[in-house]
Amino acid sequence: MSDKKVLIIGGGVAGLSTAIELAKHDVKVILIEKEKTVGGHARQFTCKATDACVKCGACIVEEKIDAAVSHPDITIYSGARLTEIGQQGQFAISFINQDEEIQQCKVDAVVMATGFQPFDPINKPFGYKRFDDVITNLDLEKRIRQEGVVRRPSDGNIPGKIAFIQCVGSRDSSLNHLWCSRVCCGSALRMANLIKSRKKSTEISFFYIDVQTFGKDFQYNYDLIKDQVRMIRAIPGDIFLTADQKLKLEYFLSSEGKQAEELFDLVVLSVGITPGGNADSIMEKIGLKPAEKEFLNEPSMISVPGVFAAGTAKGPGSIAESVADAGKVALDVLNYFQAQHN
Amino acid sequence: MTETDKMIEMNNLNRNGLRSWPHSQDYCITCGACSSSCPVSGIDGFDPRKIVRMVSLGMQEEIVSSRWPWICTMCGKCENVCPMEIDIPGLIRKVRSRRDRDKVPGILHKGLDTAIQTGNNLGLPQEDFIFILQDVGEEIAQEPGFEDFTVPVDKIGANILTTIHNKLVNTHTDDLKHWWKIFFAAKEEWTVPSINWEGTNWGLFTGDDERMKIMTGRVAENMERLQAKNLLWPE
Amino acid sequence: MTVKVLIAGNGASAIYTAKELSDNGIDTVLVSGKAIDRVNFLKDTIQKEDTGILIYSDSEIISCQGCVNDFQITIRSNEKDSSENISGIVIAEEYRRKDNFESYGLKPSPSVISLSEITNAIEGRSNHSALLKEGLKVLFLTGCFQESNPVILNEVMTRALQLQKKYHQEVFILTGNLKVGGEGLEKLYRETKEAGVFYAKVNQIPPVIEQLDNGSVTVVYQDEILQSLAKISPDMVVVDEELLPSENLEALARVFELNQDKTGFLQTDNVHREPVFTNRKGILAAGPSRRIADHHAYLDDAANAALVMMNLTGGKIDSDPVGKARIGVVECARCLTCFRICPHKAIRLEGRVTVYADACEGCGICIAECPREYITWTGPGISDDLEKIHISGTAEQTEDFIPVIVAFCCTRSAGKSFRTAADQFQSSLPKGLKIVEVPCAGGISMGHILSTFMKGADGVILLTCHPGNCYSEVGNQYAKSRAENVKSRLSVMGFEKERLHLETIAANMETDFVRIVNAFQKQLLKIGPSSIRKNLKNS
Repeated sequence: MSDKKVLIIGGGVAGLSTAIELAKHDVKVILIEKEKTVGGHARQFTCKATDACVKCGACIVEEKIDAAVSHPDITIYSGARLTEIGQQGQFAISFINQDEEIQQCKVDAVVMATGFQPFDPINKPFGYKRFDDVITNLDLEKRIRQEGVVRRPSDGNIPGKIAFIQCVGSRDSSLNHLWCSRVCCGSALRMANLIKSRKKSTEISFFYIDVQTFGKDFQYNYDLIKDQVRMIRAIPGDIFLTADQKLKLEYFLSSEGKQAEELFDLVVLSVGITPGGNADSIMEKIGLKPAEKEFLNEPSMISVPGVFAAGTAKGPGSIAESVADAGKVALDVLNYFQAQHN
Repeated sequence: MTETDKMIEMNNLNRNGLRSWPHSQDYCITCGACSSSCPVSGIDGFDPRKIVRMVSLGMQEEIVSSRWPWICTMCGKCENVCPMEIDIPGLIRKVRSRRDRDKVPGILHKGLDTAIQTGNNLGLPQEDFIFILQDVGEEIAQEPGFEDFTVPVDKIGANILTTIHNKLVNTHTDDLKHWWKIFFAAKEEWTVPSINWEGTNWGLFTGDDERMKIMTGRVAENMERLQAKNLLWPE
Repeated sequence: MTVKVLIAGNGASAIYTAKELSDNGIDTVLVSGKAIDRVNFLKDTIQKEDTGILIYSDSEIISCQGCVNDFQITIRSNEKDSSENISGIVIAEEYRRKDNFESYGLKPSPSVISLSEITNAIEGRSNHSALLKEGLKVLFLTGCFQESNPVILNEVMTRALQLQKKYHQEVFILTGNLKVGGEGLEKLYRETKEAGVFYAKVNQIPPVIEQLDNGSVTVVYQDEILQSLAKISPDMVVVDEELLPSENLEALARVFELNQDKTGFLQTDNVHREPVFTNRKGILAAGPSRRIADHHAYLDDAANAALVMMNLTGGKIDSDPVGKARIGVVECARCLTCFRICPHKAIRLEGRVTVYADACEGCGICIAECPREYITWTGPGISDDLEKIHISGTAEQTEDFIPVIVAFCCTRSAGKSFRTAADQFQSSLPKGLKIVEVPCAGGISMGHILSTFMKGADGVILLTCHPGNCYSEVGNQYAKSRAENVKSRLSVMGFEKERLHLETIAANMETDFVRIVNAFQKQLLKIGPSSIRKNLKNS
């Protein structure tokens, strides 16, 4: 397949993995990423190992980045913007690279690995962007990765009591988000475990609806974490800032049949995986109907031959699932070339 | 009323009983956000999630006879946070409507009867009403800066027509002053109707659609009669 | 030699894998533990007439010799043994479904059945019309005492919806956590509720399940929403099942020398094994052979398996490998240490003890463990890298003392973190830091550590992958035990054991890398230059 060239849009886990699999089969790959660096969202995730690996998969991103960057058949353009893709057959693509130069070439297939958009919880009653010490799980990942510990944004102190609120923006028909984002329970619980291991005295409360399974040996891992964290099966209704800069959460305690209020130093909102914001403009360029806030999970949405979608652009999934999906998509591309050949 | 020590016999429930209610109660995922945000959760064992569940289970008798649906203040916070868009206030109102009228909690039902007959929940005669308004108006006029203040009753063509909550001409007359002074300072063109001025619609509150419409209709009539441009209905 | 792949299995996963392979022109041998219908099976897989797929039905894999690109497999069917020369292997067995009656304290009866039984009844595969009678009150028990999973919940909700809607039954589902984290499950959940299915969740208080002599069941549970006890006496109870590894996996693990996870799947819980890899090159685990996942995942795995197999060369190559282990032919005493410990089973006995370069992952564990040091690297090895390190001698504990720290960094974890740290935090790294990058910490021998001290290093730090994150599964464990061994000897020698440190790290821990090496430097500043360094002659 060494005469074939594929454009991959998006340099996150799925985009990188698809690139690597295709390059392994002699396909030339052009990967275009709009940010200055590749790696997508997962590149900002922190390792959550305590005395052992907890298999979150975040370190795999580094591996994929290395493999893709060093492969001679993969050319990565970061900080680049696509301007034209062309429609069907040999796609005549045009893009502006990070030096603001226009580049053009022809490719035989296009893979949309445009990823997801984290839900913006600004309209939820949890005080995001209103109170400094309310952050999202992605904020938390970034902070711990960069600083090793989590500190309160307001005063830089290490929080003694942390609340995780799950399902923010997921499982929500009022938003048209009738799905579970799958990975947030595992992510939050592993994060809680990490924080506790670094500071045993931290009290962590976990507000949830249903705990989702993550990884292998789930029961075993879950039992270990469950003992360290206060599991509360209710989503809080309101948040207030107290005079001494603490956050007061009000929530219903079913075991006692009444409302409780509790003070926290830090509130982490586990925001859901929602359809990526970049897909639509790209679909228009290809001549496809824009997805408009839908995941690209129906084959009919990508009805142009030679165009494929990979990763969380199609729906929520873990890093491992994106890698597996990328392999499937790579084989689909190879099969497509094979069919054209015959 | 379901007591905590009485067991619910699931087999005996007719789940289809209230299935037709269009308030999406069956979609509940028991997230608890409604109960968490409800200002009266926990009072006498009430929480909105319970009501949703009881309706979904068809527990007609229990829920209609229970005190719980009457604890709700209709604030709507639950509906605001519900991820499944369940119209919980609508649901509770529907439950309320199922009670025999003479079993509706005392003051609400009697008040509503009075309102239908007299135009307000207190049965306050028109002259007394106007007298109270003018009395308050005179008190305001004694404050520096408000010397020219008067209460515009039944003024034609005002920009704002406002209803009055009955307690404001009963036990809390002073609370009228705050917004009247704002109107004055803003040089607003406003008015109060002399009849059917009641803003607290206990037809709405008790789930009585027919009488709710009568009360609402009277407010609309006032708007037409006085040719007001905007309705201010603080409630 | 052309590429020939063996698939162990006979269900959907094996079918998808066989199809992907045959679509890509790869000869396939399928070994099925149970009897299968060849015609039907081929109908599902073969698209091209001329692609061969050989089926061993009702057969067992007895032995496996050799390594990737050159496996010799013995298959037994009806007491007759056949040999196949195979390039790669895909284990694609289905789940073993275990019913959960016991965990709910129930005994199966005409009215207490398993999820599979109701599925069979609905799909017309069994003759249980009594189960589908209209108006029955049905209770599904799933995930009440043990966590369930989205695959099972999907089945439960699908059947519940059918019973409620099509067969006009009244369905209750009693569960723990609702595992809606699977494609389309939240929507399906909503659909079932719309149809009238009722859900109750058990929390802290376990439900009380009683079965009378006539087989009928009563369940009393604490409804946390209504804050009241609730009793259900259903006409029929459907008990969920557990998805476990196939009973064949144990034997396959033994024959193919594969690591298993805690449950018995043929893939350890190690992110490096994603998606379909095992500890052995050329042997893959797909679908239900590696973990619990939905049907979508079967397709992904089949595709990934095909991708790997398509890149096999069908014969031993790598005539000039680099970075692999090589056993000294003359010196080898056949102690078989390397043969036993190789985590990738790349060392075989064929007259001589031989490293199969194609299967060797270059971890270096055998090189470090060989009692006679007769195993070497093809190409430059760790010792060669150490040679390049020059440490100037005679340092005193003055203000100018810059501790020389030699950091052995596993390339997959510490190496990457170092490079990111060097990129972002160059100024924060200790001036005396020298990096020796190794393919796996398992290749760091005690000799390496000691000779590094002999060269004059003030401190030696081993940065290995976290437990459970080692590509070779055990390389980090070897490093740890060797470091501890050296430490205890250092004390005896009168050499400060604080000069040797080991920490585990991952590829995305650049901040921690900086913290760790700086903390180590701080410690070395306190204890000063090593006595060996002080006495080094200037070269």
